Amino acid sequence: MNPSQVWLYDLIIVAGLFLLGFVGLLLMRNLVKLLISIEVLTKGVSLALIASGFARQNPYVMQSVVVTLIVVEVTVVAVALALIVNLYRRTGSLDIRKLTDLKW
Amino acid sequence: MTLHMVLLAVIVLGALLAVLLTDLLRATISLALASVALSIIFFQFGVPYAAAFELSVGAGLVMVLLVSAIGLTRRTPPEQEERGKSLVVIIPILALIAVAVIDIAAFVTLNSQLRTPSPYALTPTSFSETLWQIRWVDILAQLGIVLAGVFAVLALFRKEGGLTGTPRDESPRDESPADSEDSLES
Repeated sequence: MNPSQVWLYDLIIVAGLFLLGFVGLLLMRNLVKLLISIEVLTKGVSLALIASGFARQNPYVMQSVVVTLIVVEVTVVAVALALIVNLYRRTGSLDIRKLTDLKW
Repeated sequence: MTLHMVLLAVIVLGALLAVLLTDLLRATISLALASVALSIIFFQFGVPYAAAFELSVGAGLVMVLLVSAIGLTRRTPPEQEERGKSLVVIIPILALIAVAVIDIAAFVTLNSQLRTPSPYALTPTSFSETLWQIRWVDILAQLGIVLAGVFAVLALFRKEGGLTGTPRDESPRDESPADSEDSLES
């Protein structure tokens, strides 16, 4: 595989994943769907890091960074889901439009 | 190369379904499918540790957490979103144009740097050497983040009258606590 060519293809897919993640964050109203959109963004970041390491013929550093990223990702998911379940217990809904406590 | 392209297509398809499907369970399974394809790509790139992490944690643990949360909040009806049609069309097109411009600019400017030597003076020869000698601070950071996450989850699911014996004011706004517990169990 030509690293430069593979990197280009991967960057295009990373752009697509970022696009999907941002569209989900902007358009979805369900809290779990927002978290899934953040997950999609994170997949894009992981792919970009590993593809860049492969293109530079030095994958080890990027591999360790991605392992750290995955640990951070799962921690964020756990805390966010705990928040979501607590919010559901309080409001009875997952709709972000009902979270208006901080509005004037 | 063909397998690589197929895997990239599976990732995009899984991410697309994960974002667009209204059924949360199916969206989660689609996300796990994208994670599996991503981990196979990592194996292709010769980064087996990241691939194993992505497969076990990204596709396994995250999916279990999401399904548990969906199960706890199952009573919610499917999303009834009042999205403006113009917004649905305009935002993806604008975002696609912006991302394409940034992508092309990044590739054009960075592609020439691929042949220059790595900025890391100490070029690692193995993953373990990288992780334990060059990126050892990351291990400490991971420990801190995991501990912070554990304490945050413990604090969020703290029972009333926990260690101190003082009950926490957590009554729902619209319904009594007893009604809330009954509705969750049902």
